Amino acid sequence: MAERMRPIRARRVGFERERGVLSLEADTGRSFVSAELSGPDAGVSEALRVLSPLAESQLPLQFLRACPDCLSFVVAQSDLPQVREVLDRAGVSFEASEGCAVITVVAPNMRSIPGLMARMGEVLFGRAIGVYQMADSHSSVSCVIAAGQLVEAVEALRAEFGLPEEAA
Amino acid sequence: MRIKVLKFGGTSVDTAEHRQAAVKRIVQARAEGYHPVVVVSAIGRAGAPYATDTLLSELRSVDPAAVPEARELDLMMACGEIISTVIMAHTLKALGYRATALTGGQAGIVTDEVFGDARIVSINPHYVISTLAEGSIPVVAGFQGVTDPGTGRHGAITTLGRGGSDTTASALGAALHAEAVEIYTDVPGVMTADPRICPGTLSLPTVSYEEIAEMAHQGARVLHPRAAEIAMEYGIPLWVKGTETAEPGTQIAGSAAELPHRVTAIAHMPRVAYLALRVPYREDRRRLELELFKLMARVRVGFHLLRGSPGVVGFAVAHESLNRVADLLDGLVLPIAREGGGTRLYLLRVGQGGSRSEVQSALLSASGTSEEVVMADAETVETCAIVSVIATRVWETPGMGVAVLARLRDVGVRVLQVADSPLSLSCLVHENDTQRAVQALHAQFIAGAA
Repeated sequence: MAERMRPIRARRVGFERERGVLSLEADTGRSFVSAELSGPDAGVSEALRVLSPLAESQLPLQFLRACPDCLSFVVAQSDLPQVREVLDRAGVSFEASEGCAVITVVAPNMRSIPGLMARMGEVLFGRAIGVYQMADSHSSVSCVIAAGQLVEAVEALRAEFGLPEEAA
Repeated sequence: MRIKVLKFGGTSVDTAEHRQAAVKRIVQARAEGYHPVVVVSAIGRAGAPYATDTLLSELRSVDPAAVPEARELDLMMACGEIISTVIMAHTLKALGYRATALTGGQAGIVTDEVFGDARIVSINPHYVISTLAEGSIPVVAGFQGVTDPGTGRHGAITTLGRGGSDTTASALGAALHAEAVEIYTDVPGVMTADPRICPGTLSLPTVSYEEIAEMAHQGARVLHPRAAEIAMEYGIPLWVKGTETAEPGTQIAGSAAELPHRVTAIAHMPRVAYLALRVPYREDRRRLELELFKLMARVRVGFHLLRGSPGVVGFAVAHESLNRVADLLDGLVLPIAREGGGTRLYLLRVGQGGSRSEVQSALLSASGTSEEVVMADAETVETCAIVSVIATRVWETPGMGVAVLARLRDVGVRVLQVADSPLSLSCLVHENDTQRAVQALHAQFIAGAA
């Protein structure tokens, strides 16, 4: 069952929002799926061979990454049985990690904050929290981690970015 | 008092003809019963005599080896907007209107002391309000403020960073409780793609704050997200309009979370280089990746499109940063702790010459180190671009990746890498495929869906 943590938000003091991390958010109930692409036609064609049957089955994907030799994505834990079935039927060799969570630091205009991803990675690495995947958007950096390490990850990142102890 | 803030960018004030078009907009606002407050950017783009980049070049030409002091750099950069403000105010006066040129500080904008990227801490717009009350049109220099006169910096001029004039307009709109903030530019609004490379682009009637922020993040030259953020937070209606068109423009309103799935625009980021570093030991990849991120943060180089391969650390950087990155990484020795104890020494080889890595390799051999030395070679693709489909609910919409990849394959565009986010799906392509990719995706997802 997917669950969303109540966000932990920084306090505001000036006319504009302060630089840096504004809040910390987390979702559980995810699975991480990866497939290595090989063969003479590896690349887009091979990626399409994996992705097309998933699309036909109306399975939404998150954190999609595709390059010539590999492809990975996150799905809702509840969709994993269907993902397995679809990929098995398509003859795709893949690995799936169940029980994952997504932890996100929200920092508007994050391009102007150099090193946010490095800081987040360093904190998690320092606590021996394995990161399956990292992704960024205009206002956030997210990491896919094991749900069993979520509490430790939240505490470590909250401390690193100086966020309040209580959720908003 | 009904107030409207009108902001004119550099290309809207660079010629007498363009300034006349801007004046028409100001006069029109007055005719509609508003008290207009005008914000202007520096005149013209890079190369123009008073453009910000030109002023910076002038300062740097004094001694290319010396780094100007941040406080004085801001003083210099602020001149472009001040010149523009005086010329615009004078243009209005010459046409018979009362106008008052104001610096950012005179308009009451007080910032923190981060020169070059200052944040607004407060606005006291009493001078602007009294100017309006006298029937005069305030013309405010964008992109600038002053530090608190009571602090050690004594009211030093600061600049607000990239997109600073848009930020000034939004912030003044918020402080003055304006009925609207209008950002005027040389296109009719927020466009569905760059019209210079994609015929048939459309001006969006509305776009959410998150969509416009993601467009900017993915390389589109649109309104700065900071301006949109301020307008959203203070509930000020914000518009992007063309100075010389009758089209209604684009309203920035609402949240992407409230919208159904839609493809908003095709953005592209040209002049990107891609580095892929082979990591022979897969278990070391994350640690090595992290060390590289830390190094790049230290030299303030941003990166895009992380690669997810087990045996490769890959990322894209702006082409202008490539030499700095290669210089930083080539010959670098990174010790990576092994899981079972001990350390591996990764020697990075970047660029065709890789001369420093050869020297380092010889030094390591001569040192007789007992650690395992692993050569990590970087493959560099120098001429790339990132083409992004900006859309709402990407993560809730099955099949977006398939649709994008299939379309690009059908038009013969080779995709080197793909990554998504909640509001975008981005593809790394060879730079000479950019136009074809943008046009194909625009035709399929926007023109085809219209």
